[in-house]
Amino acid sequence: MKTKIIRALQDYSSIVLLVIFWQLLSATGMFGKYDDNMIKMVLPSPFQVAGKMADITASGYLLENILVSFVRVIAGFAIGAGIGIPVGILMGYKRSVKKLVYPLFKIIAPIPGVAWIPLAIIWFGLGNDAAVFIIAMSAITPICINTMQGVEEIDPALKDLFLTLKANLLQKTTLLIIPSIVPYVITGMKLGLGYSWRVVLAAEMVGVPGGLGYVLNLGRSTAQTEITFIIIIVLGIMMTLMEKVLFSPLERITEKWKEAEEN
Amino acid sequence: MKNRCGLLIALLMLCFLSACGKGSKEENPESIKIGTNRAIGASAVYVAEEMGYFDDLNVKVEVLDFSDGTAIMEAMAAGELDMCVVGAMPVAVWNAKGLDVRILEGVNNGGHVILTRNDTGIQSVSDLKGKSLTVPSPGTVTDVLLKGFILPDAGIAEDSITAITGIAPADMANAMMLNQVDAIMTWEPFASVAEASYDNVSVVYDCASEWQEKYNSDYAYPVNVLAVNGAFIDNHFKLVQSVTNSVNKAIDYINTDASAYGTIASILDIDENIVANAMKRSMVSNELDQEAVMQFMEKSKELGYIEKIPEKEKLFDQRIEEGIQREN
Repeated sequence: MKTKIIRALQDYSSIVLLVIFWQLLSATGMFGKYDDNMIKMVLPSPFQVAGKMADITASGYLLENILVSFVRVIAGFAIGAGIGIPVGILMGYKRSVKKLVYPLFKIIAPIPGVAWIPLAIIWFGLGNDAAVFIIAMSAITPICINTMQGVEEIDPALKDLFLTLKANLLQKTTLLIIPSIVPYVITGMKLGLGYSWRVVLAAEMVGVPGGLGYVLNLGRSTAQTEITFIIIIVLGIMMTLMEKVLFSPLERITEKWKEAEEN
Repeated sequence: MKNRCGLLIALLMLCFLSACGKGSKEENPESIKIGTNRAIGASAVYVAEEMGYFDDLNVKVEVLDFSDGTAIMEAMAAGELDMCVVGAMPVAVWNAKGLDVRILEGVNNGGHVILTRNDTGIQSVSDLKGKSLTVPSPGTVTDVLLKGFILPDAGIAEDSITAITGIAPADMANAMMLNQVDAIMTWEPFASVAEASYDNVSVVYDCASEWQEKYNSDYAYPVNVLAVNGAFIDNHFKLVQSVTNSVNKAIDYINTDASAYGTIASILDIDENIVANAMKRSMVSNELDQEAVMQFMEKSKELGYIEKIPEKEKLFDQRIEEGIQREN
């Protein structure tokens, strides 16, 4: 137990150090650069931020808006993954499909999610549909491209083996393709999830009602810098939790497969 | 352990660098930066620049565009601006939070309207119940005017309308005509642009005339003000006074010269007829109803945007006005 506590402290010591220095900077007005009033706006202390977070959590305001953004992200991400994975598999498997579709992704890939916002609002109006569209557009490319690479990286020796053994499509898919591409798909999905959260914030700041982006905009308009910090912290927590819940089980399964393969 | 020491050293260096501020202001600044945004109500400062009213000041005056009042106040807080023409509410909110920014005088009052499409059935503010309405960012003059005055006066609860925030004013009319919202609360010149662009829009509520009627006043509610960084005016009073005189000269020109609308139209890149129409609702004037500003602050506090109301003595800097009065 003692060892676990010590290990936990060691693992999180960098965060603790950061918070200590944050408090030091705030308490000293960034070493005398700002007076007591200004520092509360420029760099509110961890205690100020924690206090505000407690207030808006207790009133339900924070959780309500987290839920709004969360539902949008899940919906958009699911659409992005639902299209990206099968298209990626097809592109990796069939050269003709890749030739046809890959150039489109090369054009779309560098477009930042926020650039889709004006079109999304015009096409889908001011609501969840616009947000879900933007999120899907942001998530689809990394998921699709990584999936495609996963299929292309399948061991040729294994491919030949399945060919020799005259495996049918179902056997190839479940016993060869899926186990091989899972690590690549997970990587793509992690990237897609990050893009999804970034873009939902932007969308909610420019017309899509509710959500963490709206809360951020409100804080900005009323000079409440602590709200900006709260949103940053909440996003970090949401991403960490989602990775643990969505991706860690998948990663554990792939590790078991790898061990089985090595044995 | 080594990695954590490295992090400690890096953070210490960051603290040291952050403590190295910009240093104190020079005795005679090489330039004055005035932040504003392109709306009819803020046109006086652009007109002053266009007409060369700043040329005699022996200092370079830079008029910088920003997307909205919040962006301007963020720049003021960062020390990137010396003066600004911005909504009275952002100034008051940030002053209440501790930023030493002070209002010198008014620049315009009025200019807001609620517009709707003719097919929505909205003929008065009370018809907005259950409808969607665009409003700009929370805590702005427009937002407080709507939620603190217009809706309560009509007996409408704030949550009985769907408020859509964050849309740029230039996009509001398009959103309405695409049936994405039922009505918009906007300001000049965007209101006049919408009326000129679309046949089937109508004004539900003219905020300026309603205010004048309600309070029996020649002036509407305060909108844009000329504000200054507190330390800047304390160190460069004469210079701030000269800039203010230049802006006042521009205000006189706008209100008295027939060519002024053409000048504004050229600056804002809109039709002169739109400017003429917009000027009927948006009054350019340096008169400032301080009590009305404090009323807006009371409403802001009731709406939860601020925790305390700024002290009048710290919010309004009367020295320029008194200087002008002494000269007279």
